[in-house]
Amino acid sequence: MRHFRIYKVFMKQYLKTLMEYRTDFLIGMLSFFVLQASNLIFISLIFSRIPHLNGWTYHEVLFIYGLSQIPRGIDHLFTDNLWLLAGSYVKSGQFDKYLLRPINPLFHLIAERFQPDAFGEIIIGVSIFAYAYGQLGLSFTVIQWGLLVIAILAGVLIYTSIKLIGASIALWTKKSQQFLFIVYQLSDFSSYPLSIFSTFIKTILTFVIPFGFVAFIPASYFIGKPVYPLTILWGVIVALVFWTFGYQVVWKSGLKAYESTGN
Amino acid sequence: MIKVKNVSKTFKIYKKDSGFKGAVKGLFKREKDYIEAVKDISFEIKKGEIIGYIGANGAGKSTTIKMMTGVLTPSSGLIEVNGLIPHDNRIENAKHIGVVFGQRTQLWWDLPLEETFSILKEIYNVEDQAFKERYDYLIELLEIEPFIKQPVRTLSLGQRMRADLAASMLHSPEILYLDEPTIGLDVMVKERIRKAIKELNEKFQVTVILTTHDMSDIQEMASRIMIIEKGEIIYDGSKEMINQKFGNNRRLDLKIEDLDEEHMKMMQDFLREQDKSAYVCIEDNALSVTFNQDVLSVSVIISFAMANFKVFDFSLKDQNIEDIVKKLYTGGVS
Amino acid sequence: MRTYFPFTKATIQEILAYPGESFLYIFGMTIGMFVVYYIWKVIYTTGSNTVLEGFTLQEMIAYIVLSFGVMQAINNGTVWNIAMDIREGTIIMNLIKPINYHLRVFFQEMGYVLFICSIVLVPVILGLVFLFKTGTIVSMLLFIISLFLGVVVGFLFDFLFGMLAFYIKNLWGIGFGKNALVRLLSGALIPLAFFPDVVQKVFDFLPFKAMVYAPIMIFLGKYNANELVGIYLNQLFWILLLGLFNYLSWKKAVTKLTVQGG
Repeated sequence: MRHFRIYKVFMKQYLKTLMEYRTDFLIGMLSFFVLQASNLIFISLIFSRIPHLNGWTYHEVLFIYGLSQIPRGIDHLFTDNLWLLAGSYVKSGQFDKYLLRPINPLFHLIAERFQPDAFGEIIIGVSIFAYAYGQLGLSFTVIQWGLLVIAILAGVLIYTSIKLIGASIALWTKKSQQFLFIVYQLSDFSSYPLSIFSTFIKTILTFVIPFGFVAFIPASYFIGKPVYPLTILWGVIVALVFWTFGYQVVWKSGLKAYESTGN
Repeated sequence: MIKVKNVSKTFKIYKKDSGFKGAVKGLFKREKDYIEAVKDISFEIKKGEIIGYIGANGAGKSTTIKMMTGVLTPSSGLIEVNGLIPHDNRIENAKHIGVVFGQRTQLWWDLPLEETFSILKEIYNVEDQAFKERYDYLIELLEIEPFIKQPVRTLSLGQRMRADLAASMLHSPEILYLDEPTIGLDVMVKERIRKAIKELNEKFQVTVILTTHDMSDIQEMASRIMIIEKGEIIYDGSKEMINQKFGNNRRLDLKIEDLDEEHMKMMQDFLREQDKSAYVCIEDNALSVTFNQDVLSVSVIISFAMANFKVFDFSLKDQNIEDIVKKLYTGGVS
Repeated sequence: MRTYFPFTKATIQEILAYPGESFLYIFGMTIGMFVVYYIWKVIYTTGSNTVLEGFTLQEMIAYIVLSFGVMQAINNGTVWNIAMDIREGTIIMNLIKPINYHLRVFFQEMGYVLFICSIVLVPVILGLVFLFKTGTIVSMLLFIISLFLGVVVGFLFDFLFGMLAFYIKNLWGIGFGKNALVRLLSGALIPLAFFPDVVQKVFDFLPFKAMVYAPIMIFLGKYNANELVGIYLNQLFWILLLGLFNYLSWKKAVTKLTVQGG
């Protein structure tokens, strides 16, 4: 398909520039390792005081955490340009460029930028996940591996949808970077068992900003303590609902609003 | 092929008082205000025309262009470009237009220039053969070869403008929108760009709509001129007519000791016999004379001034847009 | 000094110009704070201890709330403003003006700090002292002094970090790492007392404790008179040391700029 060819061209270019900025890339990855390390230290310090968190053990929490970083990293890899939409493209007027090209502006926006720093998140996520998997003595069947892949993909879609919604707000307000940043802070904590939170927060993290479905809820199924029946299916449904809402409703009406007010 | 009928665009803005108190007040109550950027404009453009679209800042030029390219929706009225309504069929319309913004580039900042071209080839889905022909032609015309491998961010403004122009033509668009393409460029580069645009228009019959502040851009390239002022089109006609009426106008500013109304009256009386279209006013503490230099030479005016006033400084300028517009409002064009 | 007040005012006006954004930001931070609160609540109710590392649950809650507020004051835009100035070259303009760049950025960021203090910290500490009954009026005043010192330490550190923009194209990625590190090592995420003793000794040799942990512990009255003096001295020490680093590297950067161009 034509879009695939266009994406390929962007990627080729990006990899070329990457070779030029090797050090920046390595530093970026290192910095993500540091971020991961500090999160892990936090978890370890907590579990040095208590044997379990609302019934969830240390390795179970690590399992959830490792799982949570994988979709986060994958989304970060591909859709990083959305941050720039939230932070500068509308304010500076650069956004017009995407409206003047004969391809879907969202596709153009996303395809234009690839963020290999995110491999740091993915690598750490996979490592921790694998470690916890071993420590918990789990052994997935082929079907479960398949479901895991689906759960991860659904997680990626959730991250992308949330980012899209947050960034699209800039189409109305010119800049929504702070807001998006805060939403992202929330994802830091959604690798904890949702049961510890009040109903209000639980609801927010499950249905309003569904980071819960990225890690905790699917992980609960894989550990063997599913929090909902048909866990993975629900994850997929939530992902699709949020994507549809984010793209068809928020993004498109954001575009309309942008086109009627200009900048 | 471009039809604009009774198009208006009104923006809603929120007024805020200035200063610290105003900022706090702005948290609780904001006054709404409406700005009519474009008021009921209509015109038609045929294939192959080069239109010079001029107006002061804030007059409505960019707003009009944005509506024609589909980036902005009109508040009312109809715009049709080759049978399509731009903001309804933005993607389809985009296939046939090229846009160059003088102030912002459409090229990829960090990539070598030639890579931008290969990306655009894919985005506009240009066939290999057609692309190669266009590419070779544009590279030669705009003399891009020397810096084609450099990252765009290292290019000078002149080089970048030529590159933007080439990029906008790669996909053989039928219409080219140029928004202040020569702004900030030095005279030599301006010349090259104007020549290139003219050649592109002749060779490919590309319709060119050019917004500018620079009268010489118009002089060199445009055959038809539209002037917009405060959202309304106050002139739409051939270059010749404007040239006849204003083209050769210059402006002489005289700094006179103890300048007053008397001086202005004396100058007006003197000029009435020499150049009926001459225009005198007092502005910025100077006596300003706008005159047609085909009819009246500057030395005559200066001699008169020096003989009758205590002139301690003067300057001679080419006419600017504001002068034309002022004249249009006071003198009118039939 | 008075010449720099307009910068502070300008920042506050800018913040007030986008009230929606600021509100959403604070709202989001509050949710984050509640998340951490619930984690600790579970920890306290699960274990059999009512006191962990010298913190009762009440004190812990006060700690969490304060740490969010203080973290906001420290987490201002210093790094990004400087990085942007460097990247866009506007830093050169600042050299031409007869204004000290350091002071200018500091006063700019103080606008944000004042905003956070008035909207968040003031209600919080008043609420904690009078309603929640943690901390006293005296400790509150001592806290304010320490907070100011901590903000200066944070500013000097951020300034040095922002100067990395001379060498690294995009500070954004590494900024995440730095924020995470500071959050962990300053006590914002978890009170430093929870770290193993060996590790805790190291913290005195890092400036981060001075930014967040020190003022909060002062508020909670966790230090006796001797320790209190020690803490203030530690903060002052870091201000001097970081100030010195700032001075030296700034001088070097300015020479490099004026010799080589932007």
